[in-house]
Amino acid sequence: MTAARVWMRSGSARRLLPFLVGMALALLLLRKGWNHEWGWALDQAAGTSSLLSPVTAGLIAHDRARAAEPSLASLAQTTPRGRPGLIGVLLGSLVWSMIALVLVAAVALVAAWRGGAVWPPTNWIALAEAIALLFAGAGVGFAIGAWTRNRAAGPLAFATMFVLQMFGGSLGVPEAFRAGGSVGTLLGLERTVSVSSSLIALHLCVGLLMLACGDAAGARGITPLWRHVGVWTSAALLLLSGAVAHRQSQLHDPLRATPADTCVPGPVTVCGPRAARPLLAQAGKDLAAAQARLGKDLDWVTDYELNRSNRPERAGGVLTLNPELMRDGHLSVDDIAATLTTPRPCAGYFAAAPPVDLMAAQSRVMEWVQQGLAGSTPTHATSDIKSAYASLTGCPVVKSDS
Amino acid sequence: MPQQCVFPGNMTALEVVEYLTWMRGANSGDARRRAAEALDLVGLQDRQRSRIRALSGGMVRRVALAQALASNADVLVLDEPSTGLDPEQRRTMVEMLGRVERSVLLSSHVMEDVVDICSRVLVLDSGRLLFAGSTDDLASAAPDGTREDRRAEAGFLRLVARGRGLQ
Repeated sequence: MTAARVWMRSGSARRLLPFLVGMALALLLLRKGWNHEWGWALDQAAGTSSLLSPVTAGLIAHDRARAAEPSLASLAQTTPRGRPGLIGVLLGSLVWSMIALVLVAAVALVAAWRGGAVWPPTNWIALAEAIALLFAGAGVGFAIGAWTRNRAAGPLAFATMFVLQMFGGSLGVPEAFRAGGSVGTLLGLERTVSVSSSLIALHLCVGLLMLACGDAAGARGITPLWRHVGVWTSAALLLLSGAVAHRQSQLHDPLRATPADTCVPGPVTVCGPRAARPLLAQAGKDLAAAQARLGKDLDWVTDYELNRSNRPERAGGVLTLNPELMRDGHLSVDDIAATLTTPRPCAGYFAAAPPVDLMAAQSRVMEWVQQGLAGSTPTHATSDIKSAYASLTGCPVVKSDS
Repeated sequence: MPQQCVFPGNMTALEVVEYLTWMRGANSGDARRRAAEALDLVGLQDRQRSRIRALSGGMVRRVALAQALASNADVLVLDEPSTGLDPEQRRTMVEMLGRVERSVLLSSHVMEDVVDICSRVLVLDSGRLLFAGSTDDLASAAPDGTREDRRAEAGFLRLVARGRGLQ
């Protein structure tokens, strides 16, 4: 399409591409730990849309306002392809924003590959969410540019999209105007496809509706095509918003835990999701080394599992693994201590009342473990520590039917 | 061709003409070819890749003329085409329009342009037709004793004054 090609070459986004990519990369690299898993890496890359989307809106609004300069505007209104031609403004910048997003995702994937993440990536839908959000931002920018037609268009569109991202969720649709960007590990977690699909559809509808509004604002009347688009996307928006609001509980929890489906055997066997296998192997080695260092005073559990809360009825310890806390590829002392002091998924952890006794016992053992791992010589466990650990290993677990 | 020609400064001359030609219905390949030909015709073959912001006012008006020429329309409607041009640029434009093998409807207050470009003249004042005829007829309306190169302008002024009941 000639219009899109011309605006790709002459629009503002092309000149700002290095800036766009730089900003998005800075946002990506500010966070640590995500490079150990594909899902989290893709999620973080998609999360840069929180910056790319308002910037895209601003650039498109600026270019659309610039296209309203007398000569182009009068010709756009009197030529057969005048109005479709102006949509080239949107497409031109949107393509560059998508290129920026893809470049950032590529960097994230390379980092994850070098970080030892296990193929295949599992979270591609986060990128689709981000692209849909970019389209929504593009639509908002187009409408504001067509309506404002002056230098304020760009900053106004940027601010509008930014505010929508900040407060969109409080309009009754959780996660509205957001994509990706989990702040925690996605080990064993996946995006809920129905939630992501709803949000993608919602953002595409917003983009289309704003495009129709922008076309109507920039012309002397709305064409039958855009009238249909406006009516149908409005109806779809209402339905989607209703459906999303109706399923609030699911949308407040857009991540779904997957059961541990792989185990890495060794002196300490560690189980978890397949995507985390390299981390599980390292965790097993680190836990075994820690147990050896602490001595045999305690009857250590040698079977741990990530996401055990998913099926607490199984015996064995609960693995705590925060990739962002890892240093030089090793589990943090805090994670090792937390894992060693959770040797059994006690029912008390899942009870309504706080498990005061359990937590006190865990605290005593944890203090001893941390001292033992930090000190140069191992200390023997006192009878108090042994008794506390015994209470942790001897507690009742949750039954599968509970 | 509009009187005021304001195009986005980041676009090249070729892009402006190509884009507007495409908006008029030409397919992509045709739009590009016709844009290049039209820019050749207005003498901007060496400035096709120059951005609008890098062109002089006269060159921008030639770009505007090129986009009109590239349209392949049977009739070109030009509104004050020589506004803002220096004498040399104006001379170039007049010569260019002389080469155009299409009907040209020119709107202008500059009688020099009218005489150089047009074969038939209509004088309108507040929507009223005051005169219709050739440029020679317009010149013949000038008072006796008017310099030869000022006769068209003098004729125009006399017609307007007469139309307004001032003579």
